[in-house]
Amino acid sequence: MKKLLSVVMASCIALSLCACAASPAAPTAAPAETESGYKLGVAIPLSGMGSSAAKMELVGITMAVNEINEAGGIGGKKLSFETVDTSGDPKEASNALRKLASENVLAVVGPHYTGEAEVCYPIGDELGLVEIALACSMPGLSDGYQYGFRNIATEDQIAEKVLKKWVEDYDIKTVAIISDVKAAVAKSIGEDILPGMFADLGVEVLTLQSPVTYQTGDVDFSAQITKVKALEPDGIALGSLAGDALNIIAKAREQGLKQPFVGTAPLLEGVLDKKGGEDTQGTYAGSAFCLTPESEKAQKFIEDYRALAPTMYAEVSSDPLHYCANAYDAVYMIAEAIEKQGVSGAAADVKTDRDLIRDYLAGLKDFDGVNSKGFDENHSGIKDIYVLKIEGDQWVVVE
Amino acid sequence: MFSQQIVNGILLGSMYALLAISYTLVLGVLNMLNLAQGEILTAGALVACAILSAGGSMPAALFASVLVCIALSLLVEFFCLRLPRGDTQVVTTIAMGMILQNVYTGLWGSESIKFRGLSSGFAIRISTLEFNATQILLLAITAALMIALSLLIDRSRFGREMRALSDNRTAARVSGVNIGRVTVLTFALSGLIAGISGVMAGMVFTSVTAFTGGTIGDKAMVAMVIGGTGSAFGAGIAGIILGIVEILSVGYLGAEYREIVVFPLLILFLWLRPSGIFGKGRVERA
Repeated sequence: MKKLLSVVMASCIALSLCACAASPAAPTAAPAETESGYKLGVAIPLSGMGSSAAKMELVGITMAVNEINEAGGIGGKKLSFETVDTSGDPKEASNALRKLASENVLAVVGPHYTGEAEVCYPIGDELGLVEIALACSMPGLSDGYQYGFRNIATEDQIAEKVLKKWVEDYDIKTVAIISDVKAAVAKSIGEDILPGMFADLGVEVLTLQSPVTYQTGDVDFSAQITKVKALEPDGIALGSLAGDALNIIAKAREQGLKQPFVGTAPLLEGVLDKKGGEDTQGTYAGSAFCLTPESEKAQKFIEDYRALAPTMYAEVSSDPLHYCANAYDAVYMIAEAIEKQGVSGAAADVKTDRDLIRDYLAGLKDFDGVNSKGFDENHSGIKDIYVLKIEGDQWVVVE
Repeated sequence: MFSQQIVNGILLGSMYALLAISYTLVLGVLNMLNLAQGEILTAGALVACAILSAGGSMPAALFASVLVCIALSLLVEFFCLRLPRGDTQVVTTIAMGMILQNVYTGLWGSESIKFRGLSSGFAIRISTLEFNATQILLLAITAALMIALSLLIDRSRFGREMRALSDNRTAARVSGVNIGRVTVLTFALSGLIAGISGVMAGMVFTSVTAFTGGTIGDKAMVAMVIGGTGSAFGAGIAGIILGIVEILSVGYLGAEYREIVVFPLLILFLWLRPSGIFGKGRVERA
């Protein structure tokens, strides 16, 4: 009896813990399968380090699919999607892609991370399945792939505009770069993009001979900040993801450094603006999305996101980031391809349908999206870039 | 810069030391390995962070953190160590750690959360070095716990019961040691230390995430092995040595070399002195 009671108690607690962990991840819209509709795949990290951004992406995808279906679907057929969690792990992402391919999805929205895309793009080409990655901004990543796309501006495009404005505004003559050596995109920014661009702007990089580095998810940055403090730079540039950036800036302020910080798109992935307080004021970054857009479509998107997001995930930011807009537009781009190319959606035609979608996306240059225009010759997103700065508790457009 | 990096190392090492002490209590004394200990620390840090963010006081945050960590520690003891049959502790505590981490990301998200620490401007300056109130508190707590737990294990009746249990479970039972009581109290004690460590981690690192404890936990485990399992003093000293080695390798070689320096250090110790610096030398070579 005692053992039975223990097992029942264990089961109850395990189930309640699992339910607690899983319940926020359940999308509120779109059935996973339809009898005679079009089905998309979604492969994003709903658990693990990228989960906050991925949940935003899922809100965007849900919004787009709901809107399309409420407007009558595509040629009268409903659009649905099946979601697989990649955990931000390249191995899991490749498994997710193969699973979705076996479910006969027409195209995949995702993956999220550069590291995931590095593994998934070759598999997508092998399977003949389009993937539209959402946060993979490392230069050159999608070059040469037939079915690999990414609806995001590359970091070099963003850095070019952001660094120029930051150097001008703060009169920067010398800079220290702190770079992640683990996350592919952050490493690429810190080691490849920033040094060259600062050199072009006539700014001396003090950390060229002895780089200041860390690994994604590190909790202590005292060694790095002590090293930077000794160099006395005019400003500090980050090749880092937002979560790490928040910790680095907080530690720098604690050690008395007052220099301004700059980074590129990954800084916007987290809540640097909302949770940084005084520490992060004046930090610069860049993005292909802002919260004060001119277009009515983008304004409506922000309004709709603010209404839906809290009902899906209480813990994610109430303001959308570019990832969410990228995901939203990716669904609409695929829907447009399905409609314009006369995709059948029948299981027997899945290979032909996938190729028709690929062909359409490869030539898409004039898409009218929230922040997307289509894809360039290397399948990277065509976007307008905004230079953003933290003022108060939000990123504001400075250029 | 070198002296400041040594100070940084001592402070980071003190964090490893705190968690290593709670590891060593359970493994060294009860011969049980609780790999969810890092995630228990995370719970304490997140709960304290939530209370402080809501305007609560530091003592209230510390009290809540300790309470939550003791509760989770007892939960782990019951569901992962007592309930399952056979030698499944490692797997069940890993599973519990993963469940807890998912619960945290579900409740708090995966982003960093800023931790409001002590606002006191108090600091001690020695030449160019400066220790703020948080750093002094961390060093004091680590030293106090090392000494108190060493005395508890070596001098008290409860400590004798713990050691008896570690040496020979059957003989301890026959001698009248209440095994259940000693086990539960040891887990509660390790939970208490995790609760204090969680608050200190938030204050020292200035922010917490759902993954904070996992990151510290790996290094704390290394510190425990180097220090000698079962020795609170050894775990503390080894944690500080590890912190200094890590900070110097990051500061002078780069973060990419940190693991290349730290983990060979562990292998070297296991080779030269398998029982650790302050271990009892019970390890037998084949």
